Amino acid sequence: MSVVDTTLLVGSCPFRDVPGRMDDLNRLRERAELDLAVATGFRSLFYFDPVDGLERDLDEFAEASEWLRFLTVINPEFPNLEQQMERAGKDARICGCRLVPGLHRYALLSDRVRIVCSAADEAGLPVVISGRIFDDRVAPRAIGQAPVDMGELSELLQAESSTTFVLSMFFFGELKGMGVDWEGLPNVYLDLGCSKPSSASFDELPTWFPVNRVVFGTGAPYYYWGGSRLALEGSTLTEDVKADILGNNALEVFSWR
Amino acid sequence: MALMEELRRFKVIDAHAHNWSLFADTEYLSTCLDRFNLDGMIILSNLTGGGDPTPEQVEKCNEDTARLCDDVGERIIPFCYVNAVHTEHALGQIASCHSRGFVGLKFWISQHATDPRTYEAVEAALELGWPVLYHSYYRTHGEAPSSEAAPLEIAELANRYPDGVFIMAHMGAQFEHGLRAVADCENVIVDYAGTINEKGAYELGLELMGEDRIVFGTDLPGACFYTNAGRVLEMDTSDRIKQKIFSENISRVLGLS
Repeated sequence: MSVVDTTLLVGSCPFRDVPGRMDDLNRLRERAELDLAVATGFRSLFYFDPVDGLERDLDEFAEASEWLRFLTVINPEFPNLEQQMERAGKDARICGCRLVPGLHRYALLSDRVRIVCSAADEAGLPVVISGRIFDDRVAPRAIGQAPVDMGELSELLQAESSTTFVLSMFFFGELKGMGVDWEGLPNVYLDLGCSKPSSASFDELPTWFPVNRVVFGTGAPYYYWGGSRLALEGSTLTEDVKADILGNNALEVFSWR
Repeated sequence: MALMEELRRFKVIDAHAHNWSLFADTEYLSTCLDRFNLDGMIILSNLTGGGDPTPEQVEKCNEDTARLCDDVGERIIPFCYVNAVHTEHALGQIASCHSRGFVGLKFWISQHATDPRTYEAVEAALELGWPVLYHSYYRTHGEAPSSEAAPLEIAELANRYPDGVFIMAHMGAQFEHGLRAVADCENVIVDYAGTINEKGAYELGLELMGEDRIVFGTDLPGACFYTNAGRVLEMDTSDRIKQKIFSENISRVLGLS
């Protein structure tokens, strides 16, 4: 069984001492028995130049390149979008792009977002859309994190049907509340490792979403990975489904070049 | 080792749960007690009536808790819920619930912890030897309920009644500030119940409060049992300390064998 954590938040966090350095990640990998992981660096999220932030992340975590891939964080309103996506497509250390519209404050229905989608298609990369990075109620006061317009999101997912999307760090309640026919959107995956489950959320998942399109990112080390993992382990999903969610499905979405 | 196997090594008491939503179904709640292998579950009412319940609604809450005890048995550990704004009624509920075997007092957001009406209810509870659990939040975003108690209020309340035992729920939500607010109050213990999953809360709790002043709670059914339990398992600390958190500390507070 492969274990693939599709959302690690790594590097130096400006708001809190997070065990997100190379040594910390090696310990996390051992303890969580990770085979592979997909990371997003705090530098990419918070630097004025997310590309420069990504370069620094790639340098800092170079020794983990065997098991750790990165998402390039895109703010579609910034320049050099096409070059950034082209670079991502050519660099084997980068396995997708992440949009964080609530943090970077842009609308999802825009020409620039469509360019991201087209470029991602061309490069064979998934587009990860984040609902948030922080818990809305207790985010650092310096952070203004807007809610994602779920109507716009729904429209984007349906309009860009050739793009592979992964919805990450949305809450179960938000996703269920979208009222979308998920069967009809085979291009959409859910990353449910950091999605505020209730006591029944994972048990009920097969009733509203195709479980072969669920991946699992815990948000570690900013968030407790153990809680998320145990929530999956303890659910009433079959062992085969759990194994797929924990790793196999991710191997289909994020190509491990 | 899989986390589920690790969890089975521990005796667990959930010190923060509610009989609302999915747990309004007593059969489902009982199933969860078995499934989660819980030795006990503190029920903090179903919070009927929202943040400022009428006396009738409070009475209904406590009736429902009492009925749950009758239906499910001794694994339910009942706390009396009051709205101290209706002071005389609150005092009556405390007396009535004591006669029915309730063992603690719960405040939510009906009045501040430093409200003189709170003091009257607290004094009645302390005379019975009850611990007092208080919901407490530092909200950095959004509008807080007008009578929600911030952690510094809990510290003030605890200092006013040094012989009482107070449980500050959720570690005050933004845990760095919540824990520091009560760290010097030896008669305050804390839980990290709920959906906020940010790493470091338990670790900082151990550093600031010590191993005897942290209890395990979940906020079931709105939160996931396993997500909460996995955070404790993930900690880089001894099984002895984890056992204290999972059940020994709350057993000591409640005088359970």
